[in-house]
Amino acid sequence: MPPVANIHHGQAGPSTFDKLKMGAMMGGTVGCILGFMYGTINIFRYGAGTNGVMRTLGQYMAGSGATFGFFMGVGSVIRTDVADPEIREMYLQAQRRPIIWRSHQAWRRD
Amino acid sequence: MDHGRDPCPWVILNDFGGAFAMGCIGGSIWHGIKGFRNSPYGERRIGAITAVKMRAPVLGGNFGVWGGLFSSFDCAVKGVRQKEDPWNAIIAGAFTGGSLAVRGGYKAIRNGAIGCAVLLAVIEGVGIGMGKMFEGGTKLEMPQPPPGMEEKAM
Repeated sequence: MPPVANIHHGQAGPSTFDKLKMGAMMGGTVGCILGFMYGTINIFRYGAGTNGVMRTLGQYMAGSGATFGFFMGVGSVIRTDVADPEIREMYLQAQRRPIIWRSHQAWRRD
Repeated sequence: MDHGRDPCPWVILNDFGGAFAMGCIGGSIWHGIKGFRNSPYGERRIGAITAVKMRAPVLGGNFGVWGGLFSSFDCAVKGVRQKEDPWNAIIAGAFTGGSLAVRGGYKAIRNGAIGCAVLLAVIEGVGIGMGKMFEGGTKLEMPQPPPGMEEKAM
Protein backbone atom coordinates (compact mmCIF):
# COMPACT_ATOMS: atom_id res chain seq x y z
CA MET A 1 0.00 0.00 0.00
CA PRO A 2 1.62 3.28 -1.01
CA PRO A 3 1.87 5.78 1.79
CA VAL A 4 0.36 8.50 -0.36
CA ALA A 5 -2.98 6.74 -0.60
CA ASN A 6 -4.24 8.04 2.69
CA ILE A 7 -4.10 11.71 1.87
CA HIS A 8 -7.39 12.30 0.16
CA HIS A 9 -9.30 10.23 2.68
CA GLY A 10 -8.98 12.92 5.29
CA GLN A 11 -7.89 11.55 8.64
CA ALA A 12 -6.09 8.24 8.55
CA GLY A 13 -5.93 5.96 11.55
CA PRO A 14 -2.66 5.09 13.23
CA SER A 15 -0.59 2.47 11.45
CA THR A 16 -0.19 -1.07 12.67
CA PHE A 17 3.25 -0.30 14.04
CA ASP A 18 1.80 2.65 15.92
CA LYS A 19 -0.74 0.31 17.41
CA LEU A 20 2.02 -2.11 18.37
CA LYS A 21 3.91 0.67 20.10
CA MET A 22 0.80 1.92 21.83
CA GLY A 23 -0.21 -1.53 23.03
CA ALA A 24 3.28 -2.37 24.19
CA MET A 25 3.58 0.92 26.02
CA MET A 26 0.24 0.46 27.71
CA GLY A 27 1.04 -3.13 28.62
CA GLY A 28 4.45 -2.10 29.92
CA THR A 29 2.89 0.53 32.15
CA VAL A 30 0.28 -1.88 33.44
CA GLY A 31 2.91 -4.55 34.02
CA CYS A 32 5.20 -2.17 35.88
CA ILE A 33 2.41 -1.09 38.20
CA LEU A 34 1.28 -4.66 38.79
CA GLY A 35 4.86 -5.81 39.30
CA PHE A 36 5.34 -3.07 41.84
CA MET A 37 2.25 -4.16 43.77
CA TYR A 38 2.96 -7.88 43.54
CA GLY A 39 6.64 -7.39 44.35
CA THR A 40 5.85 -5.24 47.37
CA ILE A 41 3.43 -7.83 48.69
CA ASN A 42 5.89 -10.65 48.15
CA ILE A 43 8.77 -8.78 49.77
CA PHE A 44 6.65 -8.07 52.81
CA ARG A 45 5.51 -11.67 53.02
CA TYR A 46 8.68 -13.58 52.26
CA GLY A 47 11.50 -11.08 52.52
CA ALA A 48 13.68 -9.79 49.74
CA GLY A 49 16.23 -12.58 49.51
CA THR A 50 19.91 -12.04 48.90
CA ASN A 51 19.52 -9.28 46.35
CA GLY A 52 18.16 -6.58 48.57
CA VAL A 53 14.79 -4.91 48.47
CA MET A 54 15.26 -2.48 45.61
CA ARG A 55 16.80 -5.01 43.27
CA THR A 56 14.11 -7.62 43.91
CA LEU A 57 11.38 -5.07 43.40
CA GLY A 58 13.01 -3.88 40.21
CA GLN A 59 13.23 -7.43 38.94
CA TYR A 60 9.54 -7.98 39.63
CA MET A 61 8.60 -4.73 37.90
CA ALA A 62 10.81 -5.27 34.87
CA GLY A 63 9.73 -8.88 34.44
CA SER A 64 6.03 -8.30 34.60
CA GLY A 65 6.31 -5.09 32.59
CA ALA A 66 8.10 -6.92 29.79
CA THR A 67 5.61 -9.80 29.82
CA PHE A 68 2.55 -7.60 29.80
CA GLY A 69 4.02 -5.27 27.21
CA PHE A 70 4.83 -8.18 24.93
CA PHE A 71 1.39 -9.75 25.10
CA MET A 72 -0.48 -6.47 24.86
CA GLY A 73 1.61 -5.50 21.86
CA VAL A 74 0.70 -8.76 20.14
CA GLY A 75 -2.92 -8.31 21.13
CA SER A 76 -3.21 -4.78 19.84
CA VAL A 77 -1.67 -5.77 16.52
CA ILE A 78 -4.00 -8.64 15.86
CA ARG A 79 -7.05 -6.60 16.82
CA THR A 80 -6.11 -3.83 14.38
CA ASP A 81 -7.83 -3.44 11.04
CA VAL A 82 -6.10 -2.07 7.99
CA ALA A 83 -5.52 1.63 8.39
CA ASP A 84 -6.71 2.50 4.87
CA PRO A 85 -10.50 2.83 5.06
CA GLU A 86 -10.97 1.82 1.43
CA ILE A 87 -9.15 -1.49 1.86
CA ARG A 88 -11.05 -2.09 5.05
CA GLU A 89 -14.32 -1.50 3.25
CA MET A 90 -13.28 -3.96 0.57
CA TYR A 91 -12.45 -6.51 3.22
CA LEU A 92 -15.79 -6.02 4.88
CA GLN A 93 -17.55 -6.35 1.54
CA ALA A 94 -15.74 -9.61 0.90
CA GLN A 95 -17.21 -11.20 4.00
CA ARG A 96 -20.37 -13.18 3.64
CA ARG A 97 -23.43 -11.40 4.88
CA PRO A 98 -25.47 -13.26 7.44
CA ILE A 99 -28.77 -14.58 6.18
CA ILE A 100 -31.62 -13.76 8.48
CA TRP A 101 -34.85 -15.62 8.15
CA ARG A 102 -38.13 -14.34 9.34
CA SER A 103 -39.20 -16.64 12.13
CA HIS A 104 -42.06 -19.03 11.76
CA GLN A 105 -45.56 -17.78 12.44
CA ALA A 106 -45.81 -19.70 15.67
CA TRP A 107 -42.65 -18.14 17.14
CA ARG A 108 -43.40 -14.49 16.46
CA ARG A 109 -44.13 -12.20 19.33
CA ASP A 110 -46.46 -9.79 17.53
CA MET B 1 -9.16 -1.84 19.51
CA ASP B 2 -11.08 1.40 19.62
CA HIS B 3 -13.10 1.34 16.45
CA GLY B 4 -16.74 0.53 16.97
CA ARG B 5 -17.09 -2.71 18.84
CA ASP B 6 -19.84 -5.17 18.18
CA PRO B 7 -23.05 -5.06 20.20
CA CYS B 8 -23.07 -7.06 23.32
CA PRO B 9 -23.73 -10.73 22.70
CA TRP B 10 -21.46 -10.79 19.67
CA VAL B 11 -18.57 -9.05 21.28
CA ILE B 12 -18.08 -12.17 23.41
CA LEU B 13 -17.25 -14.23 20.33
CA ASN B 14 -15.03 -11.48 19.06
CA ASP B 15 -13.14 -11.18 22.31
CA PHE B 16 -12.85 -14.91 22.72
CA GLY B 17 -11.29 -15.32 19.31
CA GLY B 18 -9.07 -12.29 19.79
CA ALA B 19 -7.79 -13.53 23.12
CA PHE B 20 -7.20 -17.02 21.75
CA ALA B 21 -5.23 -15.64 18.81
CA MET B 22 -3.30 -13.35 21.11
CA GLY B 23 -2.32 -16.25 23.33
CA CYS B 24 -1.41 -18.45 20.38
CA ILE B 25 0.75 -15.88 18.61
CA GLY B 26 2.32 -14.54 21.76
CA GLY B 27 2.86 -18.05 23.04
CA SER B 28 4.50 -19.08 19.78
CA ILE B 29 7.05 -16.31 20.07
CA TRP B 30 7.51 -16.78 23.80
CA HIS B 31 7.88 -20.54 23.83
CA GLY B 32 9.79 -20.48 20.59
CA ILE B 33 12.50 -18.40 22.20
CA LYS B 34 12.28 -20.34 25.45
CA GLY B 35 12.42 -23.72 23.75
CA PHE B 36 15.34 -22.57 21.61
CA ARG B 37 17.32 -21.39 24.57
CA ASN B 38 16.59 -24.39 26.76
CA SER B 39 17.57 -26.99 24.18
CA PRO B 40 21.05 -28.44 23.85
CA TYR B 41 23.17 -27.48 20.84
CA GLY B 42 22.21 -29.41 17.74
CA GLU B 43 18.60 -29.77 18.79
CA ARG B 44 17.75 -26.13 19.18
CA ARG B 45 15.48 -25.75 16.18
CA ILE B 46 13.55 -28.95 16.78
CA GLY B 47 13.40 -28.11 20.47
CA ALA B 48 11.88 -24.72 19.71
CA ILE B 49 9.33 -26.24 17.33
CA THR B 50 8.37 -28.92 19.84
CA ALA B 51 7.96 -26.38 22.61
CA VAL B 52 5.78 -24.17 20.39
CA LYS B 53 3.62 -27.07 19.29
CA MET B 54 3.13 -28.29 22.82
CA ARG B 55 2.66 -25.07 24.71
CA ALA B 56 1.40 -22.28 22.44
CA PRO B 57 -2.10 -23.74 21.89
CA VAL B 58 -2.41 -24.32 25.62
CA LEU B 59 -1.54 -20.72 26.32
CA GLY B 60 -3.98 -19.64 23.63
CA GLY B 61 -6.69 -21.72 25.27
CA ASN B 62 -5.97 -20.18 28.65
CA PHE B 63 -6.10 -16.69 27.20
CA GLY B 64 -9.26 -17.53 25.30
CA VAL B 65 -11.03 -18.88 28.36
CA TRP B 66 -10.07 -15.81 30.31
CA GLY B 67 -11.11 -13.38 27.55
CA GLY B 68 -14.37 -15.12 26.74
CA LEU B 69 -15.38 -15.43 30.36
CA PHE B 70 -14.45 -11.83 31.02
CA SER B 71 -16.39 -10.60 28.03
CA SER B 72 -19.45 -12.62 29.03
CA PHE B 73 -19.33 -11.22 32.53
CA ASP B 74 -18.74 -7.75 31.13
CA CYS B 75 -21.89 -8.01 29.03
CA ALA B 76 -23.85 -9.41 31.96
CA VAL B 77 -22.70 -6.63 34.26
CA LYS B 78 -23.52 -4.04 31.60
CA GLY B 79 -26.98 -5.54 31.22
CA VAL B 80 -27.64 -5.51 34.94
CA ARG B 81 -26.18 -2.10 35.74
CA GLN B 82 -27.27 -0.32 32.54
CA LYS B 83 -24.18 1.87 32.74
CA GLU B 84 -20.90 2.25 30.90
CA ASP B 85 -18.01 2.96 33.21
CA PRO B 86 -14.74 1.40 34.39
CA TRP B 87 -16.55 -0.40 37.20
CA ASN B 88 -18.08 -2.75 34.64
CA ALA B 89 -14.68 -4.13 33.76
CA ILE B 90 -13.55 -4.28 37.38
CA ILE B 91 -16.64 -6.16 38.51
CA ALA B 92 -16.42 -8.47 35.52
CA GLY B 93 -12.75 -9.06 36.29
CA ALA B 94 -13.59 -10.00 39.86
CA PHE B 95 -16.23 -12.45 38.66
CA THR B 96 -13.82 -13.89 36.12
CA GLY B 97 -11.04 -14.39 38.62
CA GLY B 98 -13.46 -15.88 41.09
CA SER B 99 -15.04 -18.32 38.71
CA LEU B 100 -11.69 -19.46 37.34
CA ALA B 101 -10.51 -20.26 40.85
CA VAL B 102 -13.75 -21.87 41.91
CA ARG B 103 -12.26 -25.33 42.30
CA GLY B 104 -9.74 -24.11 44.84
CA GLY B 105 -12.24 -23.31 47.55
CA TYR B 106 -13.36 -20.14 49.23
CA LYS B 107 -9.94 -18.63 49.82
CA ALA B 108 -8.77 -19.25 46.26
CA ILE B 109 -11.94 -17.66 44.93
CA ARG B 110 -11.41 -14.60 47.08
CA ASN B 111 -7.77 -14.22 46.13
CA GLY B 112 -8.43 -14.77 42.45
CA ALA B 113 -11.27 -12.29 42.44
CA ILE B 114 -9.23 -9.63 44.19
CA GLY B 115 -6.24 -10.22 41.96
CA CYS B 116 -8.20 -10.00 38.74
CA ALA B 117 -10.16 -6.99 39.91
CA VAL B 118 -6.92 -5.18 40.72
CA LEU B 119 -5.49 -6.18 37.34
CA LEU B 120 -8.52 -4.83 35.52
CA ALA B 121 -8.56 -1.68 37.62
CA VAL B 122 -4.94 -0.98 36.70
CA ILE B 123 -5.65 -1.66 33.03
CA GLU B 124 -8.67 0.62 33.04
CA GLY B 125 -6.76 3.34 34.83
CA VAL B 126 -3.81 3.17 32.47
CA GLY B 127 -6.20 3.08 29.51
CA ILE B 128 -7.94 6.22 30.69
CA GLY B 129 -4.63 7.92 31.33
CA MET B 130 -3.23 7.01 27.93
CA GLY B 131 -6.46 8.05 26.25
CA LYS B 132 -6.13 11.46 27.85
CA MET B 133 -2.50 11.66 26.81
CA PHE B 134 -3.18 10.84 23.17
CA GLU B 135 -6.31 12.94 23.06
CA GLY B 136 -4.18 16.03 23.62
CA GLY B 137 -2.26 15.28 20.40
CA THR B 138 -5.21 14.60 18.12
CA LYS B 139 -7.48 17.33 19.37
CA LEU B 140 -5.83 19.96 17.19
CA GLU B 141 -6.85 18.44 13.88
CA MET B 142 -10.28 17.18 14.88
CA PRO B 143 -13.28 19.48 14.52
CA GLN B 144 -15.04 20.27 17.74
CA PRO B 145 -17.79 17.70 18.27
CA PRO B 146 -21.25 18.99 19.05
CA PRO B 147 -22.04 18.97 22.77
CA GLY B 148 -23.58 15.80 24.14
CA MET B 149 -21.68 13.53 21.77
CA GLU B 150 -18.93 12.62 24.21
CA GLU B 151 -21.10 10.28 26.25
CA LYS B 152 -22.28 8.43 23.18
CA ALA B 153 -18.80 8.06 21.78
CA MET B 154 -17.58 6.14 24.82
